[in-house]
Amino acid sequence: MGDLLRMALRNAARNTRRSALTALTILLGTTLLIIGLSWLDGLLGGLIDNIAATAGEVRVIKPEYEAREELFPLYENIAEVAPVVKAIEDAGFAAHPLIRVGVTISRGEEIGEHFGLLLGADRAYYERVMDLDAHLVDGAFFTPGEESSQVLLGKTLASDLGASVGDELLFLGQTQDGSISPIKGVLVGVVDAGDALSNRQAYASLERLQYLTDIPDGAIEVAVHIGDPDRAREVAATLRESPALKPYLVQAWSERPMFAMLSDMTGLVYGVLAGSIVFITALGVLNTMLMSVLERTAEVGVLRALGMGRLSVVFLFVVEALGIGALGAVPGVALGALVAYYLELNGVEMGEKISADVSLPMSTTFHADLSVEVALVSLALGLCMAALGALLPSIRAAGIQPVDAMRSHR
Amino acid sequence: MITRRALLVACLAASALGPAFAAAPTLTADQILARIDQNLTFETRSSRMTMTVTKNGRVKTYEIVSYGRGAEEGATEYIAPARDAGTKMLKKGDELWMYMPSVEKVQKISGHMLRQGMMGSDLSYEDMLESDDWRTNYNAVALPDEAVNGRACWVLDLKAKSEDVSYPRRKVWVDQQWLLPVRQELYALSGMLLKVWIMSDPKQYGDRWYPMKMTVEDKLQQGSKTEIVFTEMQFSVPLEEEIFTTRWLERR
Repeated sequence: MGDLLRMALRNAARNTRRSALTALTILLGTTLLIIGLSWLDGLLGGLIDNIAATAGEVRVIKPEYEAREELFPLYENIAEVAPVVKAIEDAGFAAHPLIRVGVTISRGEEIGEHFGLLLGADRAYYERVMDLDAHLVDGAFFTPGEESSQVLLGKTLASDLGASVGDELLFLGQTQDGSISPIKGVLVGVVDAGDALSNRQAYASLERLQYLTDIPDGAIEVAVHIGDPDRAREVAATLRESPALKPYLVQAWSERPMFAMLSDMTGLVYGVLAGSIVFITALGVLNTMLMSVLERTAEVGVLRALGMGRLSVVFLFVVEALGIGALGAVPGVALGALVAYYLELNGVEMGEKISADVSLPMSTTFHADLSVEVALVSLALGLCMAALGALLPSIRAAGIQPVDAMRSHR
Repeated sequence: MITRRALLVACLAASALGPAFAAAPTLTADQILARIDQNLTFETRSSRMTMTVTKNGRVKTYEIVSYGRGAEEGATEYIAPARDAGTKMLKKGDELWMYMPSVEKVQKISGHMLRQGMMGSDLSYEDMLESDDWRTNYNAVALPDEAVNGRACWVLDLKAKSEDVSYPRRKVWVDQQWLLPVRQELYALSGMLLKVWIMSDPKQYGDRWYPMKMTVEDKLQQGSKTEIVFTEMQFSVPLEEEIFTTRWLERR
């Protein structure tokens, strides 16, 4: 075995140009892999963080609300929200009742020009969860005690409306019965909430939204914040046991159909991306290894005539490829990690248009998320590329008959 | 001989169908529309009504005072419930204005808002704006007569002359005595049934029959129904000029 290993590694150094080409192919493959996988992780992770920031890692809604959620069926509300909040807080988690409603927003006389979402939540939600007070681009945060007459606007909405701090805005929404229902509010601040969806929203107090929708003691949903998206399912399962929450649907973010689908889709893209890179790189390795086998047909014939088994021949070529693969994969992972780290730190500004038509809280700046897992997976796949690429040529080499090999050489 | 037999068959058929069909005068589709327009349009009208909206298992009742002048001007004020009291609407031609007392503001309703249910009802603001003058807006084709609640009705298939109307097609059952559209089916361009509008409990005012109750069902929302019952009604009453101005909207 030791002799075989030495022979394989020595073979790797025999044609340095070809080995360098193979190593370079694997280097490129692993670099692309680590960047791609980190990028996807960052995209999904960012989305989950934004969901957690806007809708909670876990949420409580009326079961009937989910089926028609995109239509904002206000009549499917939690009429008495206080016991729901208490049950969540008793379980040790922060609960924020929310009402989100589609509104027409106007500064002038005519209604019908500007649409947006108006969110009603408590001050703590805006401060601690959405962190809006730290993301003001103009004006100030809600004045304590005067929240009911004040509103904040996302920067895109403010720009679309041409609204400035101090303007009085009219929000025309609907009650849960469908009657037109207006509220007025003075614009006190404009925020850059970090994602396109949030930047197209307006923010008011929960009390104002309760009035607007005529749900005096209720909310549409209660967002539960646990600070760790990975624990969402476990927390949701715990909360479902609470008697006060039995009539409602307690959902972890990953259980929401839209996000479950998104997660599945990301998994699929992950697989397709990794599979494609591995396949293309393995093809490159296969090409160079096939050349090696052809060049060494006579040599393999001699080795076979001297009693080397077929498996040993396969081993010889695969180990040679793995050696070259390691030479490419290690710097490839290092180079890819460097790029991914840069993308994690700085991100790429995609602009709001990229998520303008998507009702998901997608950040306008996409960041990669480099992790040890991604680095290890990329390294392992880099070696896989080498092994896979070498497999077919080595099987071909193993099938060489000594007599044929020597005859062809002559 | 053949003529007598035919007469006998006709008499038997008429008696079998009942008295409802026996006295139907011969009117063309256009004449029927003209008679409906005579009944439903007016010089001035003052009325009080209750509007009960049943939707998503909830029932909400509004009390409304309404004034109308011709087909182009209308004003309504919500008296109850307390949350909506003081809300006023003014229709001037194809424009609709609304006064919302909670924000003390007059707003013009336009764009997508017009297609929403008026105060959550099954009647849209667009329905409110639409002229009752069917002869101007629709071409009518007469279909075979039918009975509605045992009363003889002409059946008309109305197709819109232009795209300016809310409903491109209406199928209308017109009571042959009252000259009222006792049942209407309102269709979208695709042929989908959108609403069913029933007019009932007619009351005679001089030469005019006017329905004291209307029921509108939105066929796109299961269980959604709006019932309007007129509790007071006066035609040809003198109305203040100011009612049909935006000043009236803000008047307390």
